[in-house]
Amino acid sequence: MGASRAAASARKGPAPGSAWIAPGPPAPPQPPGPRGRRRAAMALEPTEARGSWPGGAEARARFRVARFIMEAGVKLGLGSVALATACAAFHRFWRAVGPAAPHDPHLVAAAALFLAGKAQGTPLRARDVLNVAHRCLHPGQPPPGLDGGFWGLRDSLLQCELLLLRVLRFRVPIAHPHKYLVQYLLALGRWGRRGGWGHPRVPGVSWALVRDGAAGGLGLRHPPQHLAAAALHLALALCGRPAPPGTPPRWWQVLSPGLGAEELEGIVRELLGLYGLDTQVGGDPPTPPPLPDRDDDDDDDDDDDRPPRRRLQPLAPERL
Amino acid sequence: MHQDNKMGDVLCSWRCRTQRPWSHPDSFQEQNVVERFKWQRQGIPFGAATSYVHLEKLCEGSCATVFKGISRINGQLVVLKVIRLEAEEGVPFTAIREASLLKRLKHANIVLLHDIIQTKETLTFVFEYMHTDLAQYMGQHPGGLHSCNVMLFMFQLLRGLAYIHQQHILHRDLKPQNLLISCLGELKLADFGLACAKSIPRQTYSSEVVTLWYRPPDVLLGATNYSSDLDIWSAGCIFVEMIQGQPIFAGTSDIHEQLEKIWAVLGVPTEDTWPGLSKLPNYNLELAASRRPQRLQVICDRLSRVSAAEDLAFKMLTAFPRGRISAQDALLHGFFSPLPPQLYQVPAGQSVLTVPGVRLQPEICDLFASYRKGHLSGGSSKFW
Repeated sequence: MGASRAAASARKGPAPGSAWIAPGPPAPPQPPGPRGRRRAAMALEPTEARGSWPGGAEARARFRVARFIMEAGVKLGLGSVALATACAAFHRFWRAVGPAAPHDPHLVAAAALFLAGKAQGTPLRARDVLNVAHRCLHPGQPPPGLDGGFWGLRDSLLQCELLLLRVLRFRVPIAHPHKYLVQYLLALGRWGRRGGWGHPRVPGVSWALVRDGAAGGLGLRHPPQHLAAAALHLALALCGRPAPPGTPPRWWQVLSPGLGAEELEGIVRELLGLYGLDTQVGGDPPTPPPLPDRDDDDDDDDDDDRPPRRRLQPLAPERL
Repeated sequence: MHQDNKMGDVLCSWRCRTQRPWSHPDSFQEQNVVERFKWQRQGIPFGAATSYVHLEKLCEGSCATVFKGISRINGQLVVLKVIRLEAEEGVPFTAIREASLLKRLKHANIVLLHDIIQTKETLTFVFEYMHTDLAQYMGQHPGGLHSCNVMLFMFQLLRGLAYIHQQHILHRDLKPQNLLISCLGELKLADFGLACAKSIPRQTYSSEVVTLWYRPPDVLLGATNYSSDLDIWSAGCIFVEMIQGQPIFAGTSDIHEQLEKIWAVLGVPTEDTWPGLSKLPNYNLELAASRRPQRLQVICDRLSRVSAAEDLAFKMLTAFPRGRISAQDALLHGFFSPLPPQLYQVPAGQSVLTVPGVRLQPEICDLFASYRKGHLSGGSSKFW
């Protein structure tokens, strides 16, 4: 049934992200068949591990949602680590289920935020998550009223949280580059002051790079130590302090053993690729769609040609 | 087929009920049950509610009910922690943390999470079954435990702590109720609902952690940048409690009384003995009425009967957090020197009780009890 639904939307046209707007029965965590094969292919493809995301439309769609997570998360007052948890959960969900999954990505993103808040010990209210998500998707609109639609959305959020947990196999991502970056900054800071090559803006720039890298889902492909080292490397270059003096072993080889020069360059390229993606996505500011009427019927089959519908889709519980 | 399963369900729950009370849990588990369930092992999946049979309710908490159960997959006894999903906020955050951390922790001294079952209104965690916990064990053996058993339990507690601290995880709720003990004497850390992964150094955490009796003075004073030293203090309190038979800092009401109890033993710290003390949020000058530290063994007379016990307790119960011994160093403390040195070579996934000569000693009161009752109690399995 899910396949026929996806096929139907595919026939209508290859609008970016249209496939995952239409709600339908969710895919099991490890679906056999073509989607499973695709996962295997992704794992093997070197391009997936190297350059920017393959498949421009999908990458942009995914990036939009990641940006939505960051925006809503910041408004909800989550810290950098919780934001990274939410983004990593979302990206892992996407990778496991595949881009053709029939889930509303913004709902999954909201559930990822909700889950990240809990995993970090700062639980958010479901109501707050929904209101903030709604406000991000429909700026200027009144918050959803307390009628049936809101309760439907809340149930969808809770169900989606369970689905997310199941797909993640209850392993909420906790390994993030932030703590390594702090350690590296402390270590290099002392060295830098003595060597006279430090720069006051390096900590802030590298922290921002790590945050954006987490939003872009780089944590799926690289260990956190390597990400932290690469972010710091790039930050140094951006601040005009290309590399601390020294002969090989270089500083990042000392701090983050196992990180090769190629991988470092690869991560830097991916990080820069994210900003390329950001300008691409940011080039067409998403027009806020009309506020959906609040009955929670999935009435969106008629407009598959539009860019991703920015609304939360209630998810019928029996679909989980 | 479905009907068959249902019949099997009814059948085995009936059989299990007729078998209770189980007088020899271990032998029963190993022989009869395994045989009995062998015929229906094929095709029973993990993650399904029908794969486990509920036996009896063990306890009920605020958001979870704990049942004893039996797995139809391999016939093992299990503990089923049934967590109710809240209609308002979904999965309780303690459950999320517990599952996500326990999935990463595989160690002989950490309770094993077998399986997770998800139904519409509940989430069930399936843990391995442990016979009792340290609180019950101490309740059944009042007046302090056998010094060899204290050594054995303490070694395993520190071994588990060293492992989780190495993984940068804090338990944050160590107390005797959360230390499970098998009938062989294996000790495992449980209840990771408050545990957290340390992320950024100096990140602030809630200071409302750990049961009051086992809460370190820095956290009582409102410190929020604690680290693994938090768990060490709790472990130190449990250590003294095992030897002495009574909790060392048993405050009854509030934080101030708890602090008073601690200062009465350790003496009131000053800025010299504890740099940064006066910057803590709850620090106030009233507390500064000077008290001199006492020797721990004056408070706890039994500490002096075990060699090096006082020194270890002193190193764990140091008021200045950074001055506390680490779990890894505590394992190498002279207190554990009577234990065979092979203990340090046991791989992480293996119990220290596999080392020859390491076993649980019968407690004194058990010897009396079994003497009085004759041998009706059926040997050591009745200690529980």
